[in-house]
Amino acid sequence: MIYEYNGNLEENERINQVTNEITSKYSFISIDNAIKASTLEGKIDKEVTLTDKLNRLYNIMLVSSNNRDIVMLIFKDYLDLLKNNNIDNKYYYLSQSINEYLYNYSDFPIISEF
Amino acid sequence: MKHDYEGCINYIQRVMDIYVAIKDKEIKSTYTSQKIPYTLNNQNKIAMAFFLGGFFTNSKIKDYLYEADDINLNRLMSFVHLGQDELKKLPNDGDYNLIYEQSNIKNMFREIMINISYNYRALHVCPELLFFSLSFTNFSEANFYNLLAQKCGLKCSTFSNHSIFRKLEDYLLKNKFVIPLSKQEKEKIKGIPEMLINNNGVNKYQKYDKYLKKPEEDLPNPELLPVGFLGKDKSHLWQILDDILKKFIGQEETVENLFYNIVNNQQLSTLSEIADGERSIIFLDGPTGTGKTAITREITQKLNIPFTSTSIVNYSSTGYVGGDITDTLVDLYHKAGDNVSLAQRGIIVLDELDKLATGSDGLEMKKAVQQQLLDFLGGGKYIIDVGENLFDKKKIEFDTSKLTFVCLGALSNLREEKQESKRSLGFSTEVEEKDKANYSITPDDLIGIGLERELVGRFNTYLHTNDYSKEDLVRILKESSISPLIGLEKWINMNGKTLEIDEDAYDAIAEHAYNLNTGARSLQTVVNNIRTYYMKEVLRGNSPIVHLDKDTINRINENSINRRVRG
Repeated sequence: MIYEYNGNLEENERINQVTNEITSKYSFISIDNAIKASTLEGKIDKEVTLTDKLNRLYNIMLVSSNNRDIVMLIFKDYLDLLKNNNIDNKYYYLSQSINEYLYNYSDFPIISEF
Repeated sequence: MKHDYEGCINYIQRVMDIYVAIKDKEIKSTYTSQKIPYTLNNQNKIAMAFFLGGFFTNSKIKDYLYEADDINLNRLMSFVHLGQDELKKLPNDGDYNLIYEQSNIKNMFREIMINISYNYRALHVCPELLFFSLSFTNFSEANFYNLLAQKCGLKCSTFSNHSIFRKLEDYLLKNKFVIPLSKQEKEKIKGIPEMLINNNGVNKYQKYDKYLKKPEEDLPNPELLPVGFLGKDKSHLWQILDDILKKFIGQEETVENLFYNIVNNQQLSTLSEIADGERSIIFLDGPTGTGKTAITREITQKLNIPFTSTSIVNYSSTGYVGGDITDTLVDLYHKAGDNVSLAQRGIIVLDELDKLATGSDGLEMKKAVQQQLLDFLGGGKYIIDVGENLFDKKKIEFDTSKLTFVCLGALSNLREEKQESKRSLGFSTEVEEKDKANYSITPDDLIGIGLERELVGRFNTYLHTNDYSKEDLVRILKESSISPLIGLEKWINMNGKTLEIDEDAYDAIAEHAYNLNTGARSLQTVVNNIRTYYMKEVLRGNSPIVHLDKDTINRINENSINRRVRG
């Protein structure tokens, strides 16, 4: 996914730009949900961090959590990021909870609980 | 800008007309790779409406679309043409009339359009794609773009920056009328469409280039300058400046100075020669998070000037490992829509320039890069390779003497030294806080940290962004259009709830952000903490109101922030 610098943009411009980035990557995400996910993240700096990337994927899953099939597709990318990078436990435990959600064992996890 | 916007709306209206006319009808096409008749789905129809909206010039098409029961894309394409008669009406464009009298050129246009719809089955075919494809046959001169854009009803004076398409995207997004492209599709349209290349890998239409290529010196400058740069009426420019000032609260002086310098350089760039030293080469320093990059980007975006930004640490002198600094020229060339005249008036931002200061490591390499930069800033001619693939090898000469350079540096240690020396002069604490921003970086300072004297001599404009005070941060939260609270409020509203903020909550957010010591960036961090804290309540809670007060903010942030207090 593209994570273009948006530090100079107004909030509405930033939300539009991030929404475009999300729908370009995941065309199956509705515009409404992409906008919701965009409002959940902050500004993207010159150097995109792994946390930025994981947060964006988490936000997209969160707003799509009424559809497990969609979450499953995003979750694959989330796991790929985890596999290929060193990351703190929060995102690792979060992935376990998302996995439980996908198997219908629990609600979609809220990041603030980790 | 208004000019562009009107063009955009006209275009949209036409697209809507066409779409309404065709949305419930069956449309067949034989332009598929297997030559099997293909029925367009709804997405194809949307794409087709965009395509036709941009390119048909014959009013009969609308009647045809409304009247016909069985629409065939082949028939439809026959209406798509560049009207030769209308073209002849254009004043002072004898050359173009001559071109159009060559019937093979007319046929070529048809063929290209058919090829594109053939390749992409009318999916995602939009004017941008067509223009892009045309550029591979050397149609890319700005005049020709503009001429073509006018013919297609797209009034846009800054076409190469695609500003009209950004507006178009906004419009489409608002109306939930978006055709997102997948990564693969985007990659695909980057290259030359296969149909335009013959079996030997040679561009089929190269032989026509001689009819179409105009000498660059014939290009009129006004076409290449952002709106409002010429003529006596500059109100448009000042309006842009006012808008930018509202965003970057606390950095007003720097924004104004940078804006005037960039505008001045743009105006100078219309002259055939610029006297030595007249063009501003800007050195902008300031603490992290105070908006050095953001301000520069905002000004260039709003003025529609081709812009590229790069960190100097990515580069090494030729022969060493690392990128070559002339890569920025290639980037600028592409961002200017492959228009070298426009690119030569662009802006290059060189970030982290202070990292070139010769420390104990990499001394020789840093010196070599500084030497290369010296010629680069001074204005030299470079031959750059702008071909995008194996079949498109193309070298052009790029003159850097009209470019605007903005060099950025945090200069953390130097700034601290300067501020420390002020403290030791015995200011009282209150005065000291206000006076901290009033240091100035001199050429000697830069030489002192290890930059070459000759290189420092190139900089003739020194600007710096200020560290934010707590009051500035409160003002940003309350007044700026980039306040992170706007996004938080929007998110809460989208979930059917309302955000209420106590007056002292602003102070609390600013206090925590100030302690983080990363400028305006830290406001975002604090607001993100707040958002995370309220996530469950907003998504699953029953209360219709989210109330932000000082105590809650302190509780949320004390754990995460107190780890990194201001030293």
